[in-house]
Amino acid sequence: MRASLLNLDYLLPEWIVCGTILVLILSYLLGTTDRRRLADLSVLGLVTALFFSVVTFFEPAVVGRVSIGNGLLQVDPFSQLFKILFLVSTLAAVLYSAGSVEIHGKRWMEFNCFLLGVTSGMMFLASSMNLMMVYLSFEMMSLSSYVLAGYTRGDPRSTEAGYKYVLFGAVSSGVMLFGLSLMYGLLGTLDMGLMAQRTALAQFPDLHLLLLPLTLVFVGLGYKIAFFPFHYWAPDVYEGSPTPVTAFFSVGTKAAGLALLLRLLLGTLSLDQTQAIPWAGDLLAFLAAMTMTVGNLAALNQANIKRMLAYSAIAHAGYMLMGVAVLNVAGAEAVLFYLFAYMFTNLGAFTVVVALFNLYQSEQVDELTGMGKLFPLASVCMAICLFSLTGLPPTAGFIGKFYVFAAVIQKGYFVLALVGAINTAISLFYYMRIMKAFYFREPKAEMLAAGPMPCGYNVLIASLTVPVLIFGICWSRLYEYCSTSISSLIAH
Amino acid sequence: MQVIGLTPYLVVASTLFCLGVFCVLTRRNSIGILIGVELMLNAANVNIVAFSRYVGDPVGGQIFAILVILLAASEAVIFLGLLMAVYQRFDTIEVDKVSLLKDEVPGDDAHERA
Amino acid sequence: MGLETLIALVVLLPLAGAALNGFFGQLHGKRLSGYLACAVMAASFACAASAVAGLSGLSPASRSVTSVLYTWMDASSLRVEMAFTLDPLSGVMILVVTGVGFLIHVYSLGYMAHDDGRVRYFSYLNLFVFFMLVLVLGASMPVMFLGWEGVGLCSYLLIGFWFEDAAKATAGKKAFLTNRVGDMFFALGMFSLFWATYQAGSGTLAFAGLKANKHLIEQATVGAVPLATFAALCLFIGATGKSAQIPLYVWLPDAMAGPTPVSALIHAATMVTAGVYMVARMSWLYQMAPGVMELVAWIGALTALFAAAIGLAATDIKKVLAYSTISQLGYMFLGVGVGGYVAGIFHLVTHAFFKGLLFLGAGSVIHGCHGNQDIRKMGGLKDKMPWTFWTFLVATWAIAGLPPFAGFVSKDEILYEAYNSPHGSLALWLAGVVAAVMTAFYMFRLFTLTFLGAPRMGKKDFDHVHESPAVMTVPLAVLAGLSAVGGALNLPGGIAHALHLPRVLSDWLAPVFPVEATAHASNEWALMGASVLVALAGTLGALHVYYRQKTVPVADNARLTVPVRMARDKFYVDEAYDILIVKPVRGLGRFLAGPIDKRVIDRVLAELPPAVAYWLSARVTSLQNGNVQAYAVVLFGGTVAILAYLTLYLR
Repeated sequence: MRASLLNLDYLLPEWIVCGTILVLILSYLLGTTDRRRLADLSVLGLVTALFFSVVTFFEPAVVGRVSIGNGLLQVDPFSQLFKILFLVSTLAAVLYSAGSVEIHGKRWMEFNCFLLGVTSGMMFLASSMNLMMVYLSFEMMSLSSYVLAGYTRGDPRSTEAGYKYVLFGAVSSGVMLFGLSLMYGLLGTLDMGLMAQRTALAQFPDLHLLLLPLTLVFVGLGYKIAFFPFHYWAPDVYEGSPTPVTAFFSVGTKAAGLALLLRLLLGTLSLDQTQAIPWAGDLLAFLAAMTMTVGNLAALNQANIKRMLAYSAIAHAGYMLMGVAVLNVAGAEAVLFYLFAYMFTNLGAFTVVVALFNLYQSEQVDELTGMGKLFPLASVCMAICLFSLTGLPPTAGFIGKFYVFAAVIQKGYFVLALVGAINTAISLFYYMRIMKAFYFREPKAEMLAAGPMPCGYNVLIASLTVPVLIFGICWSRLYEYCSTSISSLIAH
Repeated sequence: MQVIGLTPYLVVASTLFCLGVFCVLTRRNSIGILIGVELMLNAANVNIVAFSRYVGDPVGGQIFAILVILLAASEAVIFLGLLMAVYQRFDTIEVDKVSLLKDEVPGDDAHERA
Repeated sequence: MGLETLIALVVLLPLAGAALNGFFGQLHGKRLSGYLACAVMAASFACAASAVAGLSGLSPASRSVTSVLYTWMDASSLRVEMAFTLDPLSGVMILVVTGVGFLIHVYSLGYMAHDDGRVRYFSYLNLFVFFMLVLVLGASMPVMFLGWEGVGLCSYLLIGFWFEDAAKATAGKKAFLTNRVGDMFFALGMFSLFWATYQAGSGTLAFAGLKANKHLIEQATVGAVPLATFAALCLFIGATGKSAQIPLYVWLPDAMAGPTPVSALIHAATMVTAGVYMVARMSWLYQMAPGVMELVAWIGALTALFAAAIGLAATDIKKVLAYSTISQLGYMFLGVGVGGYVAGIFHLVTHAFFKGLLFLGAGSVIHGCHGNQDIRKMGGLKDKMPWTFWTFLVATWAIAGLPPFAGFVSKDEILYEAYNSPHGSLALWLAGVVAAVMTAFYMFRLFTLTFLGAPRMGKKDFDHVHESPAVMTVPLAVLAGLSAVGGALNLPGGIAHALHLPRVLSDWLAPVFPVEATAHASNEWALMGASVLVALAGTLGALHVYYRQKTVPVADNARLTVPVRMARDKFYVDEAYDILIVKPVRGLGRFLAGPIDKRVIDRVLAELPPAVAYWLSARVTSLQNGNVQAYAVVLFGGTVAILAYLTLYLR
């Protein structure tokens, strides 16, 4: 493992993202106010960062894990894979927000800045190896998110969403910070690498003392990933936020939380190898089951498509938590694969919602009828994404669920698998309700007046849906990358 | 100066934390909740400073503490900013009055079921 | 370009054609879609030919090249790759599929020239070829199964091509359902083979792997039955579905509802031969299960007889050919069932030539007679449609088994194997011979009634009869040429020996079938003579009855002798299935749907769970009251609960 104070060149993706923020501000001050132009700048920055993330994923030095800032951050395939995920979601977010009516032109530049701010926070979080860095990047991510949630000033629901988000978030991060402080005290160091060594050698008498701090940190993570019983903010905040922002939250911040959770449980505490904390798996399994069930059941009653998708996001967090609950390599790989499948699927579905909102200013499922006739391409893609969310072959969602269920069953959590299966069946109902509205009902008369779907949205939706199908048929390569990441995570 | 050891600090921190939680859970005024949050964050800070003195890695701990103060301040800024917007929209900052977004209790809702 | 690339191209080109026509067909128009489909087929054939040429450059022992596209499934116990293997056997098959396929595509340009749905048609046709190639080139059973199912799907789509007509759509459905029954058994056989190898720790479904592990399969059992027998039997039942043998042949005559080129390609030259190919591919498995081999041979022989009997009385030109196909497939199974794998494959190849030609010729006749398919209303077409007439004659000559055309050579080979092979018997040979007589008879009956004699259709209609355009007659001519000289591919042992000529196909397929082909026995010439005699007998008999005596089959509702009536009504097999299977299943379905489903199951399983789910949903969402402080309460409550659980747990 290379350790050097100034390995800052490995942080090139982060540099680029932060640099893009500065470039955006500068160019705005220098007169570029055109929405398109600014979007191009963001896209350029993101694509460059994405390129470098991919490059560093394969670089041998990174495979051997590079430590930056003397243990503050670590660049390894695990972190780079997550960064790729974050950057792709942000890229999609910029693209579909560019045409969104919910983000007004005058505030577009700041919107991009905040979006990139969240992204950089997430990227640092994926690489963090120091409790201080963890908290710093966590807050960096959260603070920008709070603003994004409340971005549409004209809409009281957006303001309320932002308010609820910041309130709940502040409380949760306060709890988490307290936990972090206790962890610091118990293990005597802020460095997670050193912590790993100390817990491995059990240099302190009783690991049970870690129980309290871990639970508190877990609360904070639970809030971010939105699983039971810390998820209550999510439906309201997702519903109230501007739709592009909701889409971004449902993938990006969730993934960031999972990255940290995996890093903590498998990397630092090595729970896949030690039996030191035997209760962890059962507890996680229980919470996963509850999350899935609550998410899926609540979604049944929703008439607002955004709220429905919010609950669906909670349910999917539950499926992913199942993969974490098994506390082994197979489960972690499954979670990572699921995240990728979920990212494309969710972004695809939400882009359709954004596009439809642009045209009709409606989020009610009952009002968006007959879309199948009006927008054939978008509806087909929506259908594919919904099938993927349910977990039907030949979509990536099915493969993701397959791997998660395989890991769960192999570990022996049969009841959990059964709950998961029942939940998948329940989820079919509300996803298909959308399909029913799209295809089996006639479009309302006033719908026909609105224009055609802009070509850009069609392209974006299609390009997000194609990976869903591709990874449903030919997924081995992606799974290999996930394996590489996880093995770099657990190596010490 | 008398050395009082680590424990009193931890006790104080925990007490502050619990008081903070209590504040968050029971006050209707949003500023009150903010104060509760600040209490929680500062409780953690006390912990950190105390640990840095007694347990190890003194430099890291102190930097951490300063960072926390910074972040707490930023958080408060954003909180208050959004609170301003809430006040503009809702004419109140009481937490239970700001609840447009919720799940309707399904009774005789006309919406379709699968 | 490397062999692997060529192999991949052979398979992927038709897929590209299907995709281009399927997704963008509206853009480039109807004419271009046809040309595109034909071009793709030509390219695929070119690649196939180069690949086979390249293969022949390798030494016989190493003539097996696998092209891996990607890893399809990789669970811990099973690894399946999307891979295609070119070896002598699959080489023969791809040449037939792409070559004959190309000719039929060209023919379709003319046949479907006035059909509005031809973009869809060409897309489906290309898709079919893709799946067929996947089937024959597949390196493992799952890939073959993918192709197996895919051709079934395309068959359904193409049979029911004119789906606006309810009867035609039903025919497609019947094909699909009947095939499903067979497919289930195929899957069972596949699973059992995997299970046998998995038990010993080397679970695989690749053909190479299975063959390498055949000692494991030999030792395994399923209950009291040896696994080899079980698997071979299940696979064969699957083959009876796909290749229309007893008892799952009933879909093939109905499948004539589709466009005639479809019948030529799918139901004569390619898809129906998939079962024969599968048995040949798994020859080593069947060698381990002699009982099943005997069953295969007998089913083949009986089917040949049975179908020929129905063909004797059929009056629709396509139906006669359909039953003829079933009968000839019976021959192929007879061949592989007695161990004459080369003979079976040889007949498969020649059958593709002459049966494809027969169907295309029938299509030409139907086209020229403006849709009439009843041979009782034909006659005298000889001068009106000369090209069709001469090529049809060549094909009929071939299928009747008259020397020196291809049909004679391949059929004789099968009969020779039936008599001489250790798995064969006199009874099997006799069955084959009787079927041969019947074949010659009904084929020349068909020929005579269609082309010779005086015209029996009205004068006005007869004047409108015309020859088909060149785009249709040229493929006919090419296939006629192949039917004529195709016999040279595998000359009978005695002749080849005497003339010092190689037995091309036998030598080529030798690496795949190391089983000792029955060495040329002394009775070869006698058997050959017998074959010629019976073929002549059938031919002359037909000519006598239908040409000399100018007999015309009577209308369906006239009084007929019992045997003829039974043959006309296809021996009531469809009716029997209807009474024994379809009606009881429907009745059971109605019973289950009515009293049981509606009253009991719906209440308990269909109304109760959603009611419960929605009630639970209401309970769950009741907590979500919009007050974020309440959410915080739950957060802390949850934390406390977790801590409590943990402390209690640790006590």
